[in-house]
Amino acid sequence: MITLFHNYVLQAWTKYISITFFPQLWKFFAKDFLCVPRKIEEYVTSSSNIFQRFGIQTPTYLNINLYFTSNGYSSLSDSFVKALLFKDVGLVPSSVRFTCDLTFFSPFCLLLNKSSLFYYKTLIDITSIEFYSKKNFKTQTYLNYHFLSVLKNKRLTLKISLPNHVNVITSLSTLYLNACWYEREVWDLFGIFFIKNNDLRRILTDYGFYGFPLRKGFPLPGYVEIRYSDDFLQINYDPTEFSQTFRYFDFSSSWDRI
Amino acid sequence: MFNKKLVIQKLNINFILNWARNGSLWPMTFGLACCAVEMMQAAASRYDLDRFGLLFRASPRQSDLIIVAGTLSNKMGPALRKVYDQMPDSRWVLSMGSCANGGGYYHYAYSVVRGCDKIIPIDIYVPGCPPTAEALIYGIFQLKKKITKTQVFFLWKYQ
Repeated sequence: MITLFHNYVLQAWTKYISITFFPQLWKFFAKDFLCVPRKIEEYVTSSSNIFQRFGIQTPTYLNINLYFTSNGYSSLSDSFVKALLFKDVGLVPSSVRFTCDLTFFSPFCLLLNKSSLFYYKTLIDITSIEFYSKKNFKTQTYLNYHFLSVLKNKRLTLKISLPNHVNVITSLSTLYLNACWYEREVWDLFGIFFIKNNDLRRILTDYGFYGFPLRKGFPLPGYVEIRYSDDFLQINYDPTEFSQTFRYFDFSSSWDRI
Repeated sequence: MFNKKLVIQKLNINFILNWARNGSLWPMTFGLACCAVEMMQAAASRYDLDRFGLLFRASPRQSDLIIVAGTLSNKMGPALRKVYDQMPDSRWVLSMGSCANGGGYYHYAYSVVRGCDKIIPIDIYVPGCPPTAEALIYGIFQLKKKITKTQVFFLWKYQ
């Protein structure tokens, strides 16, 4: 199982790397690895018709949800390839959104950075979200990477879902130097571990802080609070105390019960 | 010409010391959040704090008032205590805004001190989120009133 997985990743790597150095080969490989897709949603939104009536050009956004999955290859629709190449789309997309699988993450980012097709040399931000489902009482973490290509004047949002209780992902600090601080922040608040990040310390919370505060399991008032003790003439960390109990509000509508 | 009795009554050491302290109440610059903007506004030309003898200093060694303006986080707490300890006597503390008074909006948060009176003793609380520059100046007036009523000899005796 492990060897199969490695082979699979290596294949993907070789394909991506070959394309980075020979971008002309894009068309041959596009059928193989970019693809897929169980589902391609493509919708174009324009701000309003009034502007178009007077011939005023308005910014258009082409949002594409692409699901890289491990099973099943199929050829891309033409419009998607065009959107990737940012050529001849008719409507010029100014922002593209991807959903990427975890195994494809690092080669895909390498492609985004190195390939002359994309040239996403700037990492704008890394964000994380944790969703909690009441059905199976599980949490699902997502990572959002925002890239900017100055050369092409394009932005890209890469969305990655992490598997349950495996909060590990490879670092982008080798490709993008500013990723180091963003990853430190995500590690600090969400506890997602970034492999190959050399300086993965906490960045915002207190020294010796315990827990990851933006996770769903973290209690709102935290575990400790500080207080100056006149006996010891120093600041002590004590467990949190509240003189008043928490107030719980009933948000359910009274009309629903009828 | 003048009432001799009154002059003697006024010109005791208490009065002179308090008068001097009132006239040059130099605050430590300790802005933490948006309250600090309001504090700057009070120091700027419209509500000129210089008129009341308040000059913002960058060193705790030269200041005798500290205005805790803004949210005090757990990480900043030891720093506030250190700055307070570095200030020479006599010193006063003015807590500005609801965050510094009692946690305020972040009362139930994991990273915020629920009132900076857990770290240092406070003379005057100025409510508001953030308090206006007028409110801050009113708080300073109250502090001045408090200073005039203190007895210096009384303090010496017990310190």
